[in-house]
Amino acid sequence: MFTVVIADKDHIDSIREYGIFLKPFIDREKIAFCEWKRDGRTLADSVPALSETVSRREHWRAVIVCGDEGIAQKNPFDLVRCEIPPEPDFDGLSAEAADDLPDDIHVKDLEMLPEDAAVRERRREYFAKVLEVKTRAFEEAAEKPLAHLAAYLCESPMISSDDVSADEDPEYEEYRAEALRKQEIRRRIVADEHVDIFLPEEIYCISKRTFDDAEYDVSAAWASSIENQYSRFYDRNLYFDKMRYLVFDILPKTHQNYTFDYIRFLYTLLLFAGNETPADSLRPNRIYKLDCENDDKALRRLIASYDVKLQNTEELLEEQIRELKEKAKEHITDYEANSLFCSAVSVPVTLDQEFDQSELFVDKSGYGLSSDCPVSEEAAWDAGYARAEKALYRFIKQPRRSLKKAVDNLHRMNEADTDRVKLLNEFQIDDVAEFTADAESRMIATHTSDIYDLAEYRKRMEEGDRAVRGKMESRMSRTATLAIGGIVLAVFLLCFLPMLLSNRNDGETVAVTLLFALSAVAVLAAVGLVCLFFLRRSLTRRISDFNGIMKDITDEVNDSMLGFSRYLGHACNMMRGWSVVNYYNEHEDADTLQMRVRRKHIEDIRGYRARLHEIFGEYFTDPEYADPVLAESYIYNFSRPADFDYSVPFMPGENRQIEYLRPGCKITVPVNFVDRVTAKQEELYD
Amino acid sequence: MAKENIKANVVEAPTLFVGVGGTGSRIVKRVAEMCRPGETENINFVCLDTNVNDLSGVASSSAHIYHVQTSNTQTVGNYLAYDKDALKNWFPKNAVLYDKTVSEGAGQVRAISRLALNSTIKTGKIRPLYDSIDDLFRKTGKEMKQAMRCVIVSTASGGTGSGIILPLSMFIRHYVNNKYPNTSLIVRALILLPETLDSVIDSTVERESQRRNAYATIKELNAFMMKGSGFFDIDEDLKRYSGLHVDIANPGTDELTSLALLPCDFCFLMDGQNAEDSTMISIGQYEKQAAQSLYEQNIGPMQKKAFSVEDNIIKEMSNPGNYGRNRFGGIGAGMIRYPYEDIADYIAYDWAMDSIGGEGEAAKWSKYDNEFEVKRREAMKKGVSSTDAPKRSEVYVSKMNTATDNFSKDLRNKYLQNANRRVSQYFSALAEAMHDSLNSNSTIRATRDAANELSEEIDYKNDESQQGKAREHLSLLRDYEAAVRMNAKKTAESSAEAIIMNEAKTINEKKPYTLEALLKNAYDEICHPNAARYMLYMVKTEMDKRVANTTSHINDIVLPTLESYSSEANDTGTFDVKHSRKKERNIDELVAAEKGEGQDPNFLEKLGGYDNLYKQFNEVFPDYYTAITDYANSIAELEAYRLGSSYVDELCKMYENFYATFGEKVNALQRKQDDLVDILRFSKGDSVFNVCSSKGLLSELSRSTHSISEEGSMLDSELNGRIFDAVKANVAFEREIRSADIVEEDRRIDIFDDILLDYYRQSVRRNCKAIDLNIIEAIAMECRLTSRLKTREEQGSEGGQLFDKVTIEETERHIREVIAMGERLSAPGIQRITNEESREVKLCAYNKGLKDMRAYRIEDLIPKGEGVDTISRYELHFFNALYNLTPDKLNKFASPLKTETGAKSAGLYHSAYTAYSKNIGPDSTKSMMISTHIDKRWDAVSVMPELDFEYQNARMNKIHKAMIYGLVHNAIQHVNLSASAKGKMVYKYENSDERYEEMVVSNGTLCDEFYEILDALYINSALVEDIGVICGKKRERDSVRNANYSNTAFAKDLKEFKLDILHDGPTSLFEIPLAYYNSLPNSQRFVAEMTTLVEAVIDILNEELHRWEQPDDAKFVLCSLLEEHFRLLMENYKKYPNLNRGTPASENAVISLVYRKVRNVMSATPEPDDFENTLQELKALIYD
Repeated sequence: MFTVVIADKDHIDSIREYGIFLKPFIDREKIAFCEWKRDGRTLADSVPALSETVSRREHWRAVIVCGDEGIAQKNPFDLVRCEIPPEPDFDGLSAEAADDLPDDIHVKDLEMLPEDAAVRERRREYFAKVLEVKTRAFEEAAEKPLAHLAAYLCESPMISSDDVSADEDPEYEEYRAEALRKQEIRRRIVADEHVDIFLPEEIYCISKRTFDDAEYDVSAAWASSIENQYSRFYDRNLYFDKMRYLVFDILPKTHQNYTFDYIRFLYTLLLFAGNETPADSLRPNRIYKLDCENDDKALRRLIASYDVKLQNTEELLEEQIRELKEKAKEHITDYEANSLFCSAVSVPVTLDQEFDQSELFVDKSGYGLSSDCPVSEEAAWDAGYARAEKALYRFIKQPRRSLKKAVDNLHRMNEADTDRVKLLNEFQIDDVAEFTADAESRMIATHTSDIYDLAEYRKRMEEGDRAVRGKMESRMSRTATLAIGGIVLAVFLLCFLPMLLSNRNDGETVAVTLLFALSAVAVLAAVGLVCLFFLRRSLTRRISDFNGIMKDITDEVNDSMLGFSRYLGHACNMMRGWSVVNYYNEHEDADTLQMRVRRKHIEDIRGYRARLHEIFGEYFTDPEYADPVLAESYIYNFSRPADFDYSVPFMPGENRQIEYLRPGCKITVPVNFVDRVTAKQEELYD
Repeated sequence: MAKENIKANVVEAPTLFVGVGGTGSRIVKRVAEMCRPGETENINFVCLDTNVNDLSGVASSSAHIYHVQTSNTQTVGNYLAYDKDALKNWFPKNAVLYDKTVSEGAGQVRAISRLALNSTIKTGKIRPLYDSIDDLFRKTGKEMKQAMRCVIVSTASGGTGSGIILPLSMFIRHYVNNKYPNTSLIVRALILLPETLDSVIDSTVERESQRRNAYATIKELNAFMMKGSGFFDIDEDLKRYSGLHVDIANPGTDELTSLALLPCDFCFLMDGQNAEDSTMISIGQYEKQAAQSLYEQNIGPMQKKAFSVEDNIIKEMSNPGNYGRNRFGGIGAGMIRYPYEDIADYIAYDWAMDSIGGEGEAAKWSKYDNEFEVKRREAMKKGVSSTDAPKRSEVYVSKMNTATDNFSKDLRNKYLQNANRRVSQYFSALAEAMHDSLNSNSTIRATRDAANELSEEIDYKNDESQQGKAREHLSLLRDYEAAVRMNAKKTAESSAEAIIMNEAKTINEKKPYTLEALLKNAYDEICHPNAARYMLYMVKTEMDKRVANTTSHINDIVLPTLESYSSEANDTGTFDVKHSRKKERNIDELVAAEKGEGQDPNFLEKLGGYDNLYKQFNEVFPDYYTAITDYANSIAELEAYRLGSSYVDELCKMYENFYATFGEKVNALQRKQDDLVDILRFSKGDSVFNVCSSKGLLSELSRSTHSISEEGSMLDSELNGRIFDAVKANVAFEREIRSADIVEEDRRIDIFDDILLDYYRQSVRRNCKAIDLNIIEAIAMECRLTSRLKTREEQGSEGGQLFDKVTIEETERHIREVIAMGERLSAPGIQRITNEESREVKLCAYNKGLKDMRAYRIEDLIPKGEGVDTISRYELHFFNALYNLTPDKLNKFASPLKTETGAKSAGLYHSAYTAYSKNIGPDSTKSMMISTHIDKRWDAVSVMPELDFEYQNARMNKIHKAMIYGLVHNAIQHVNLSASAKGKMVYKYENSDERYEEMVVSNGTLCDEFYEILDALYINSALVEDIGVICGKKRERDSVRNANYSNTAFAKDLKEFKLDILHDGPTSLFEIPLAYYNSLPNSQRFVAEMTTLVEAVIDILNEELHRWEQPDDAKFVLCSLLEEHFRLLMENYKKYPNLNRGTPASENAVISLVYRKVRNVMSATPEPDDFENTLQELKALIYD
């Protein structure tokens, strides 16, 4: 039948923890585990997983592992105190009652009154007291987790609340009141919860017990008891007749062999949960001592085999480590190492080739001798300046972009090819580290300038602009030039007038004079022109100065880009170097790694062995005792850093028939070290 | 061997088996399950239990069993609230019992079970019991030949069974008598006594409780047997019990049905020890024995003989001293069995191990797999990648090719000759079959046929009819290609599936293209699984290769060729005919270049080489046709190879799975044999003895049937075929369920267990005649085998030939010994009564075929046996019944006995009962001691007789003496009911602690009449015991003082003794019987009781004198004391009218009785003789 083990989280966790020992005992098809939260007030709170576990299951049974509340008692299930007051002597007729009797009463009449009213009243009072004591016990019991849980899992006995009996026995009445009180308390427990599951067909309560009082057994053996005097703990503890009680004697937690004893408890529990309980073997309201007799010889053999198996595996791993150590290692030459990991890498920060730098400069051509001929100088300058200014804006963006590109490149290039790093020897890695440190110091030493100071550039441009414009302003317009030239010429001619006039008659002289005058004018004109050219030249020089400013700016930018290039180059080298050094430090070579992986497995195995020794200390024996087949080492791919399952080597297909709970009843157990599971009734008499 | 045809037993009498309680129900369930089909025609089974969990086991039985749960979740207290009769009269009310939930069992309290039964009857839930009875009386048209039989089974120790067996048996009789008045009913009961449960019960307290219950149960049955037989009404001494009855609820009314019928005609007991003083180990063995016994007694072939003996017992019921109680007895059954099926299996496992190579050599089969494992591990250690890791198929094949051991050589020689050639032949045949399979598609076939003429060159040039048809021809080819492209794959798929996943049995399959044929060697022998795997791996490798080759052939050659004939092709080199300027790039253009029909080429065209066109057609058309056919064939082959590859792979995997568990299963064979030996081994306590079943004998038997085939460890061809068929079936099933979420029926075959072992099992049964022996022959064989074993042991390791030297006499002696053992195994489950001739029936039955034996005469070996056809010839059944027992003579129920030759202590059950019941008081609520009876009133010896009349008398005597002592020592006092209520006198008891106790009589009232003192003592054993304590205390003081009789407290108290209801002054002790008699109502004046009382007086005086005086003096002092008291009696009788009540002494029955008893004592006393005169004087006192 499907069995639900309802137990504390600790027990369920322990079953998981000791899984390697308990695995063969767990049949997940047959057994389910539900955590029991003792402080839960409702079934959903106390055993949250139960309804899901047993939903739609019509036939199932519950095995409840009780808490440690009564662990130290002979009867761990008896959790409440209930001292029934001793029954007083009710014999005889009270004086008052006798006085009230009529004088002529006959004995025959009296026979009809085996007890008189007063005696009955005294009995009633006594039983009222009993009821009170018991009710107190019931109330106390109702708070106990087991009684609480049982109220949900058991069907309450049918009690008729109507007064169907004409019996006037106060004791019987007390029982009826008591039964009703119990029913009321149980109803109160399950008051608001609708439990939509089939109730379990069987309920077994198993408790651990550390009580070991030989004196008790002796005194109990000498006391004569009868069946009816068996402890009525179930009554005062508000248990149900459906429940069956089993205790398992276990060593106290402080005992050095506790862990093994606890595991023994767990596998006994699992055997109990995994097998049908023979009919009639556990009677209601009796306590049975559940015990599991081990075949020490087989267990010793198994433990020894397991230990030797682990030891063999450990030795296998050690052997593998030794082999790895002895294996010849590949290497690379210093030259290769140097060329691979110590060669400088440059990260060029270059401007975009497509950018036309000529636009940064103002064209000097097109400027005439006068300010407005052939075109207006100012307009031409404005246009040129504006173009240069715009070009500068665009130019200024370039280094930023180039830098970004370079940084991207840096990101790509900052890791060295690590495939062969593993082959470096320690001197080679020293060189790499030195190279890296050098690159780092160079990187720190490299200065970079600000390439984004647009205001400064503008300021400098404006200065140039102002110089040009100042020059332009000093320039004459064509009209003015012509007028001045004309006037000067006229004036100059006028200066020759006298001479002409004086020599008007002398034709030759006039001609010479004229020639002279004209030559002079020509000379003057030429001088004027020369002057004009000079004037224009100073303008173009200003423009050239302006272009010089722009050149300076571009040079500065280019310089700073070079600086960045160097900086990034160093950074890249440094990063590559560190990547190599770090990789070297972090990644040992494959063999070292394999050694480490195997050491990890060895540690795991040692952990298992330590636990094995801790738990089964007393069962350890000569390793010679181990079964050679079982003790063969585990075959796993130990190159993988996985957590392998070093389970106990139970004999495959081991299915033994053992006696279970009573003679003649056999079950099949998956291991060879369990000899018998017994349940003996405890002699517990009130 | 043909399966035995064993007939079913015919039970003509309607028979009802009733199991009560947990154990009773389980036994009845076993009986029901033992019945063969056809035997239960006139039999019904019904089980009753309070424990719901136990009943659920019955309900789930494969046999049809009616069941009644006689309980619900009510508490005892709640039951009582409704059952007034129980509450008021018979239920031992006690606070301990009130809160018991009855559905969890009766908790060893028998009365609870009766209470629950009452409720079950009242609520009508007993219906299934009625149904089970009524069903036996359904109209069938057949004559009702025999009386109905009812068999009730229960334990006497638990609560449920022992609590209701009595009322239930009477209830059933009452029901049958009322409803079927023309039918008589014979009720047999089988009761398991508590010692059968000793293995289960480890609490001594509980054991005691069970023993008490058992005693009480048997005591009740004993009493009701006497009552039911009418002895209480006819025997003067037992008349006081004539009112004994059980009240049962009556559904529908408030009235009760009073039952006092005979509970059972025969009651068979089963105790821990049987008649041979042997015991069993567990309750399971007792249950088996009980079930087997009941089956043999009531259903089996010996039933008629068994019942005919019972009739003879009935005559003895009325023999003196029996009082109809000698209905008790015991039954037992045993069987000697030759476990043919198990032995055949054992030998089959041996044969299997021999063929496979046995446990140690199982590795032979797996050595190739082991080789692979080794290689795999090596590769793993080396860190070889999975692609480069060795493959199982490669390792397997190479290992088998290279291995030099005999097994591998045998395999190679026998199965793998020309393996490569066979594989290539297989593939050729497969390819051919696949090519042919395309013809199964009508489209392909039609188009191929149509285009078939183009497969060869056509004389276009000279055959005018063919000229101008190039377009048409191309179209035919195109149709052919289209048909192939469209259908070939599908057709090939289905054909490949049909060919490769062949469902035919390997042995029958002969087609060369099937795997089955490939697995056969030149002599048509099917390969050993190892060779089969080898061949399959080869096929798999070749298949894979061919898949690759065919795929590349299609892709690289066939498809490009076909492409070149497509209308989109652009290949002037191939198609240009060069007679025109136009360059033909593909076949369509080539075909277009031909003039249509009736259009002849002109002169220039002819001159330009028009005929080349025809040449070209003759080149391309057959080539195109071939390409299409090649394509079709390649596709067909490819499909076969693909499917074949995956299918063979699965076959290989399935074989691998089989081999993976192979080693373990071979090892398990040994274990299976050990298990068989374990099962067959005779364990102490068993009732079935298997002959030839010890390990040594089985090995010897197996050795003598051993035959090694000439091939050594090669398997039979048929078996190899079956294994391959199973592998195929498993693969087919795996394929079928591959996409299924839920598999409703697991049709997987366990090849080892279902095929391999099954083959050997059948083989042994078919071929090994030497072990097919009937039971007698088998016993004889056992004798020979034992002797052989012995000789072999003597020979030790020398071995050599062995001579069987067993003589026929030795064999016969052994047979007789074994038969005698069978008889002993069937010993009745109860001990025989010593010193009395037992009425025992020993029966044996065997298959009537045994009468035909030549070597032995079965009638000589088993003279009282009976040959029947309802028993297997491998079995001998024994049945043994013991009758004519009365429980008081059974050791465990016997009361203590003192005879001249020695004293015998009380029986186990008796002492448990008496030790407990002596403390039971009238009010069960005031004591922990609760009545063990189902009616608390039955504790009183006055209500229910004891098993042993001697003991009963002794108990009566003790009670009477207690009354006398109580009166003499003034412990029983006639006092005022209360100090304050003068004049209301009752008898009270001042106990040994000097506290007053009320004396309550059986009707619950206080004791106020003198005669009620005795009644009060009858129901209050505790009080009787306490009077003993008072006497003891007084005697202790006397003893310390070394007193003579005259100085004892008794003598002093006797001097002062008086009965206030009679008179003042000295009172004779004999006045107590007189006073008692006088106060008794006429209806209750039983002579027996008066006699006991008078005897008690004399006994007391006798005992006291013997205690304090010299024995020689005591008898004389006794006579004078008796004389004194008799004289005083007569004096007072005459003096006081309330004594004589106007009747002369001579007419007073008590005085006459007293005189006679005194006379007896005096007469029995030797010297001096003058007692004669004294007696005369005493007599004169009466008649004067």
